[in-house]
Amino acid sequence: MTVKSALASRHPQVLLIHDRELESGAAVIISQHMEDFRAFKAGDDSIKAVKEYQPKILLLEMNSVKDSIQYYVSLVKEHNLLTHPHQVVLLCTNKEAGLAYAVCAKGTFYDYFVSRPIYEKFRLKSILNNLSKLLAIQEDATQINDTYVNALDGDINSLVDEVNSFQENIKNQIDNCRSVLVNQGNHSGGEDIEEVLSPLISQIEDEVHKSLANFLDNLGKQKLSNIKHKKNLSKSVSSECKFIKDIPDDGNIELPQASSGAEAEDDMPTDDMLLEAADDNLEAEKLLADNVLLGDEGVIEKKSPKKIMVVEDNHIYRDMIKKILIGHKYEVIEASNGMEAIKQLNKHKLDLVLMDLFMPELDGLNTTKQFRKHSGKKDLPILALTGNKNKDLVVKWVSSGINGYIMKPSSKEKIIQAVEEALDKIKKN
Amino acid sequence: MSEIPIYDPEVLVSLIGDDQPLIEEYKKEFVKQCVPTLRGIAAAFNKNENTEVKDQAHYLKTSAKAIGAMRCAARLQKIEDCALSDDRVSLKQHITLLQNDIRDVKKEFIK
Repeated sequence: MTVKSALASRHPQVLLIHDRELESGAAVIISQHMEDFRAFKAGDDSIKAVKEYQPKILLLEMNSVKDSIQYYVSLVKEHNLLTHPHQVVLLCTNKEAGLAYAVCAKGTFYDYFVSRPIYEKFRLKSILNNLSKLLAIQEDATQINDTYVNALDGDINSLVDEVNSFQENIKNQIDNCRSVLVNQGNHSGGEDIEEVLSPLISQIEDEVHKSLANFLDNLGKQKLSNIKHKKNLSKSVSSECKFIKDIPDDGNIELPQASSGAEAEDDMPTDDMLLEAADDNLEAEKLLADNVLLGDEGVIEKKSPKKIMVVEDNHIYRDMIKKILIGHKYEVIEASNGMEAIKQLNKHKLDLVLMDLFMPELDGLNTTKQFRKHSGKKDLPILALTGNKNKDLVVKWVSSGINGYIMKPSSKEKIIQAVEEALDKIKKN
Repeated sequence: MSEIPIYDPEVLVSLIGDDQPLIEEYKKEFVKQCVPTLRGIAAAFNKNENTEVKDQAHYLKTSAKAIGAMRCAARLQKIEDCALSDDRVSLKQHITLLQNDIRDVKKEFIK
């Protein structure tokens, strides 16, 4: 690594903030190691620097570990800074190394380094090298998400998920084979490797062929299904509340409007059939009415109410929706932002989510993506609460996993109608 | 903007029913919510933080619409639009007028 004298980089990616009169030894090491680095004494200048430079790596060297944590919290909470991807390294005294280790072990900060006194300058360089690699990867990932993911419609998203799971399978199979190879190598004591590999390779080939065949089969089915449902897309419910029945197969969907008389008449045969089917279902459901079901041993059990999570940052509107739902015998879980919703999601078995789209911290679309991708809640119906809709927005919502929307504000009846439709659809599926 | 009604009581009735004590409670809560949000919008405007202005306006717009404070809701939409297009002159004008809209809706609530 070449020595750089860049204590005053114009656009530093790495900032060291300290509260000591003398510049620490760490600052010298970093300035020699990295070009994009500057050090600031804690104060107005350091806050301005964090705001202006949005550092990817922040090193904090306060008098104590506690002071460093408090300073970080003040940057985030009071000054609303560091909302971009970044990592923090604690610089501490030898005495507080244990405490700094514990803080990092909890995942609060990336790592720590004992800077008073400095014994291992290469460890500091190593931490910075690792972070530089890590953050470059994060930045790329963010760009990919922002630029491309939004452009994917639901159809492609679903296919991409399938391809990802297919790739994951292959990776698992290769990993399994590796471990089998290692085990067999250990037991056979140097058996001919080709003999061991041949059956495994055949097995992988077979499985890959099967997966591919399934994938192609599903691809064909999905395409047919999409074409069929695209035709039905424009006649679901009113313009205020709508359940998006299926994902369109291209970006040229038509935004459904309230069914005009003429349009409704054109589609009457299909609607009639649907209504008949719905009536049949209602008849069947009446047999199980009065909210009771027979359990396995003939004991009468009360049907538990459906659980709905309302994710809305405005407490007044959230409370209104909650009261409406409770009035219709639903159980309501509340969340005031996306992060809280994700926490609640793991605690409750939900039947439906009503999701505000514009919220601080984590918005509705990203929360929905998190639900779908990381929590495995692919079938959980999610209806957006929104005051705005247009064709582009609907396409974006669908690609993020939203199943329908309720306009803000709608009447009580329309909200309940949208909720019931979403729950009925899941029941039928 | 003057053609838009200050307050439409039907909106809240259609949302939560004709429950007068509850309606009064929500009206009070809305007025309470207006004060810090208006301050937040003004502070964010002074700091030239358009995203924050837009977010705060969007937040209050949700309850303004739900409560039936129609003119406030329309004004907040304008504030969102101006913040988004970085039209500082119009933004300032609409923030000033939002104060009047909130004052007007308070008066309507008392009637």
